[in-house]
Amino acid sequence: SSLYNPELETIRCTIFDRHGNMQKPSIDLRRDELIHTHGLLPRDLRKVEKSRRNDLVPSVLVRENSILVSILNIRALVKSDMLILFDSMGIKLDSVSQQNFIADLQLRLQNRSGFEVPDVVNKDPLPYEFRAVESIFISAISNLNAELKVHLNVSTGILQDLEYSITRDKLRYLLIQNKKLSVFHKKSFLMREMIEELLEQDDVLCEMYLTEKQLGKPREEHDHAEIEMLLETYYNHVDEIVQTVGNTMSNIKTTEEIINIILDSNRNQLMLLGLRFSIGLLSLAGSIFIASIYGMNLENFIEEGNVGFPVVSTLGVILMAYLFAFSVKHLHKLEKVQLMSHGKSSTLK
Amino acid sequence: SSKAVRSQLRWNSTTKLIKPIASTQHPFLVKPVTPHESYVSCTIFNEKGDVTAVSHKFPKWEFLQKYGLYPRDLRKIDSSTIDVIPSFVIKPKCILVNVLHIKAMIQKDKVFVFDTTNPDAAIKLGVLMYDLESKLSQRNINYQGKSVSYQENYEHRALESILINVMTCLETEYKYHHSVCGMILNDLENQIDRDKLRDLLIKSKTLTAFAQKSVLLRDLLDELLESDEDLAGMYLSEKKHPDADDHSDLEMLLETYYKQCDEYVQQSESLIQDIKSTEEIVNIILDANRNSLLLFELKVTVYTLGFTVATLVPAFYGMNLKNFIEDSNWGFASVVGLSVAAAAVVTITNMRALRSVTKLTLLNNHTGANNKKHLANAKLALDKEIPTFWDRWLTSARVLWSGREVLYKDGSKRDMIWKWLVDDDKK
Repeated sequence: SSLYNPELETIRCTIFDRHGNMQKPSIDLRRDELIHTHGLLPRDLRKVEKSRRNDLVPSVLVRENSILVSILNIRALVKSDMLILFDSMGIKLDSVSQQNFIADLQLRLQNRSGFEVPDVVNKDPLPYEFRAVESIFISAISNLNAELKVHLNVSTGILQDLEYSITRDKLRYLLIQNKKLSVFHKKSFLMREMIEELLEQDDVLCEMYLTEKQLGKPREEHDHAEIEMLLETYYNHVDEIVQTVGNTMSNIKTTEEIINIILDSNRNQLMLLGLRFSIGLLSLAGSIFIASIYGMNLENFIEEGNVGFPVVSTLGVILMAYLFAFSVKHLHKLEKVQLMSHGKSSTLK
Repeated sequence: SSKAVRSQLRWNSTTKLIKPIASTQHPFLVKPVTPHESYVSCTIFNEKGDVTAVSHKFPKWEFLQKYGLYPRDLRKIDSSTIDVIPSFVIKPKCILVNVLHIKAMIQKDKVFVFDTTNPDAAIKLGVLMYDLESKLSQRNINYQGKSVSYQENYEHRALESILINVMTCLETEYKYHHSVCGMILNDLENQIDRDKLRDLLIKSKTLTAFAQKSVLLRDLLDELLESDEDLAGMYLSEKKHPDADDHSDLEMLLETYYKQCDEYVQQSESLIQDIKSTEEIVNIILDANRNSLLLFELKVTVYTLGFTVATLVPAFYGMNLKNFIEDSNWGFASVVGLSVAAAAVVTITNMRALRSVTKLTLLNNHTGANNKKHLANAKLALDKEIPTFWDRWLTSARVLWSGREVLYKDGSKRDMIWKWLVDDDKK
């Protein structure tokens, strides 16, 4: 079942009210109703409707009186007194991370003081919309962190295995892991870029103060310390993830190069040995050739002589020795070429 | 005449907004045209969104003069040119759009869509026509009895439906690439095949072209968003001052499609990255394979060498020359014995050399430092790859004596592996 139902033009979502209470879970809202009641444009919902499970590009769009957030698998519309969470596709609603997210979201949106809830020391001074955004970021980053841990574990496991021997299976796992890592890197990298871009736009940051805008007190430009600090914190988190993944990817890259060198040098050694055998074959074939010439049942004029056999045999052996010596010498010369280029002085002595 | 045109288009009035794909069920009859030197042909929409002319032909010079264009502007929208680089040319009275297959001129109350010579593009253009018609004719949407009007300008609605069409095309194309390349990549994970790798590289060519196309489009949108002057120039119905800073609605429009295009760019880049890493690792695996082929070839060579050695002495005694042992009773046996012995010695010596070289390479066959585990590992692999004569003889004798299963009952090697695993845990 898809999030967006094109026939009925409805979108499935969960709504949290002003006090952070979750209304009936998962209701289907009509698309045009959603657009009109929340002052959106039809195209704003395209991202939500088109969302697939493996969306890479995250976005935070700030509109007149709402913020549209689309990070990893979380798509939400944040308003100053309301949060509409578009139910994510692919991941079931009862997954642990989703449950944690909803619980955290509720707790944070309710924002009760320490007298009522023992875990919370003080009331969060941040406005409703920032609490919502923060909760979304926290969930996204904890998801990223969990994924990072899995990737790191698997990658280091494979790399350690490759320290013992290089086999085709291990290389296959390395390939699969490599692909996963590069997608993950892209995902986290784009998230970092997005936060960085947000931080650079003063006007957008000011626009994000929805509650104050609602009250008719829009922020002056450059006066957005709270949201800036919030975003910076998560920027640092994501940056750390990006750096770690980058590091692992470069490790894999280096390992690949080392493996290539090892395989190449192994091949060289094997080929050298093969050449030695071939040289032996060549010299033997040389003397067998002479023997086979006299083995023909044709008149060869020395059948009756007594010296024929020893002379021809000696000739064959001499030819064999000569071929062997010549080829081995040549091989040695070729082997030395590699050393010659940086060892010329030693040959002069 | 507008009604006649409508019926000609087989326009289905119930077709709803924002469903460009659905309208392919009623293919619009946009026919590819043959390029002409002195005419431009286009489909024209009026301010109400009605089609006033289909494939209307204008003489080129008249067209240029009428709409205040230069010949070089026409080159951008000329139906015969190759369309790789997308562009928006902003003129005082119109916007010239050249994106992928769409070439159009947007005015404040008219849209000219230039006909194409490419039959594939013509089908896509047909979809665009439907979309344009519904988007342009729409002034306000009735919502629960109240009419809520968007304050969107005519030219922006036209622009939006063009962008929607382009994004839909990009999406279909991306999905195609994703499924094709994804399938080959998955196959390559399971089985390495040179043919598949070649297929992948061929497919990656078109993928690269797609990525380039979407990157160019994204950069174009980005450039537009950066330049306030261009954004102001794109308001044709209400003239904006070039320095005016208030064009947030257009900015939001372009931003939405910028984000969408960016998604395709990133997805296709990650696909290209996947192809690259697959290529590298498949190359490594093929290298490893070549090494084992080489090893096998060496074994064959060793045995060939042995046989050649065995042939040498008989070859000399096979010469039609007097060799003084023709008549002796022990001649045959001793020559055969001698040559077999020589062959055995040479073969065993060479095998030993092969073993020692292979052992060296096996010891080298990892990316870490040597330790005891490596030595044991290398020995095990060596015994598997090139068993000594004694080992081989022992194994075959055992198989002869008590059947094949005995090989699998021998648990000593497994014990050794188990020991390493336990040792590893302790560390």
